[in-house]
Amino acid sequence: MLSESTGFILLGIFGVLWVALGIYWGRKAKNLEGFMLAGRNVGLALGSATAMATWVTSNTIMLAPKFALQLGVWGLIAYSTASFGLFLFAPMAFRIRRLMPKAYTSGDFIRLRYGLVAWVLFLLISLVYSMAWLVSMGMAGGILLQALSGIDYWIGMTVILTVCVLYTLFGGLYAVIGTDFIQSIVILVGVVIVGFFVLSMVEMETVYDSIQTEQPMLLAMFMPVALLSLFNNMFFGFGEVFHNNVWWSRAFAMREGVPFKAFMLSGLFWLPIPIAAGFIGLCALPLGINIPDADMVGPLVASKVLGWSGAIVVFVVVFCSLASSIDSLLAATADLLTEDVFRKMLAPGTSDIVLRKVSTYLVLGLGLATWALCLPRLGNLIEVLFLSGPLVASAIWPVVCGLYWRKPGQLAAVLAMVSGSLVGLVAYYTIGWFVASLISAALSMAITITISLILPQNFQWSSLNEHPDTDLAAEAK
Amino acid sequence: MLAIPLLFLAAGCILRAEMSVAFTNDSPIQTEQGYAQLNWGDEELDSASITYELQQSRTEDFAEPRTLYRGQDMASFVSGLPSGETWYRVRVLEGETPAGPWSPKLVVVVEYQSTAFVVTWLIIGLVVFVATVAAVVGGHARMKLNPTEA
Repeated sequence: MLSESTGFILLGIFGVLWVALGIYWGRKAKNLEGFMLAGRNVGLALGSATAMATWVTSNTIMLAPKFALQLGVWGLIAYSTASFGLFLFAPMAFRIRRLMPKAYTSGDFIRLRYGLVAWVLFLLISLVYSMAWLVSMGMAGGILLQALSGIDYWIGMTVILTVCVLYTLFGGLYAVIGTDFIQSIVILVGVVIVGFFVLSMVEMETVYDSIQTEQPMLLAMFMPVALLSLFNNMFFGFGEVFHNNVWWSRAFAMREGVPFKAFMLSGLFWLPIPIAAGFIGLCALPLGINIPDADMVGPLVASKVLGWSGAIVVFVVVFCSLASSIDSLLAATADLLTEDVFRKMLAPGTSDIVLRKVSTYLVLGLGLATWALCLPRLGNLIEVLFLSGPLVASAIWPVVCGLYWRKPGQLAAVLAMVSGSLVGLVAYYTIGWFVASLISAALSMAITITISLILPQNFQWSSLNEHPDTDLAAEAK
Repeated sequence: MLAIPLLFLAAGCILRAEMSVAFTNDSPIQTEQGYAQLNWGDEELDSASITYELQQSRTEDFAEPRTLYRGQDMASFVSGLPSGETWYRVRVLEGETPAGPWSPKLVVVVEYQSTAFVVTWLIIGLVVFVATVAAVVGGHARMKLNPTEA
């Protein structure tokens, strides 16, 4: 692994560079729309890159090899199904832009589509999930930087959060998307480099023979828990992407005609990353590497294969994957709180200038809250992220049906989210993590469809456009 | 006369006790997922200079043992285990030669979920997946065909 001084040098270089870029791009954010939605003018390249980079978290780099080591080839495939969420969100983003061209958040959609109770419930689910994700990224930053370079946990965690808060504060979504573009390239190149060198050190036949002999279930067609995790992971991913303002804000930020292609491309670019990372995990035994801790299988194999330079590659890739997710979460969650809670609930009619200040204070507040929750390094805080799987999966069908079907009303949406969340959480503890999100999604689907058929509404799509001066038909052409 | 050999015997016993090692896991380790984290060590040993040998066997008598690892790590993650019992033992090495007895054995018992359980949830997952894709793709197609109505 790296020395502490090397770790600090890398942190310093990237930290200063990212904050400088945030200040530079922040000059473009002249008003609230510029700060929150990058002027609604993000093109295809930046749009694809930001969606892909945001979805590459430290989990992708660290958890994908762990999944492969634990669950084998099916585990690797199960992890990569998270790309399906991006693929399916592509047509949804197109629909969202058509229905709500001037909206700001996912909360706007739920409020207008279903009403107050559903909106409050949805905000609760979204905020719990967003904070859990933020905290898990913050903790992962501290833990990984400590494991890779010996930097103390609280220092590494503080530096990562501080850098992300600073450039998000200065630059808003412009800075987030701009740095995401750079980070996406770094991540792709880094993972390809490590994957290429791993492949050059082993032959596929050797890998197969070794695993077949020593870890036979990793190659088994019927590996029970891995097969169970296949759809569970997929619905966790669907729920994360379909409901969270991180993705909705990107749909609103992209130029007309861009969202569909951008999300499709981002899914395509994201897909090979967990596969390459997972393959690295599978090669641990064939390379004769002992794994004392499954969480570290990725960095251990990379540094064995590439030595000191491999450790640097992993360090940089981990930094970029953490930063690309933390900045997006900070921006999108602050937007949700600014627009839905402050403007719509607490202080309607507030001017954009004031809201811009509120948004920046919220970014700072979220960063501080995350730091405070990460500082004691409570292991069970990461569990909260996995527990949020049933919560977000319960929102899949209210969102999907809400976009394409007039019949679902508030009762269907609320019952679907409440039942799916509660039953999913019970299933998490009584049956296992590998079915909790699936059960939540299945129950949510059944309730949404059933109640919509029994008590059909006749929702008018034009109600979603709070700015009727925008001509939907003209935009459709 | 007896004192000197007794002294050597005692020293040997102390040395042997100092070079013994045990798993810190409780045995048996039950798992439905086919993997386990094995941990070992001894507070008396200077871990910086000690190497260990970890062996695995499908039978309790270690009739056909396989060395999984030799090195200074005090843990190993094992995965992809077949159903049933897999046995482990660890000992201290000095160079390539054993420097202590084998530890008490540790058994990992793997009992995967039943086929019926897995197939049931796979079918449910497939149904929900197909329905979700159909809802999105179908809605998108309908909207494209009829943009003003949808």
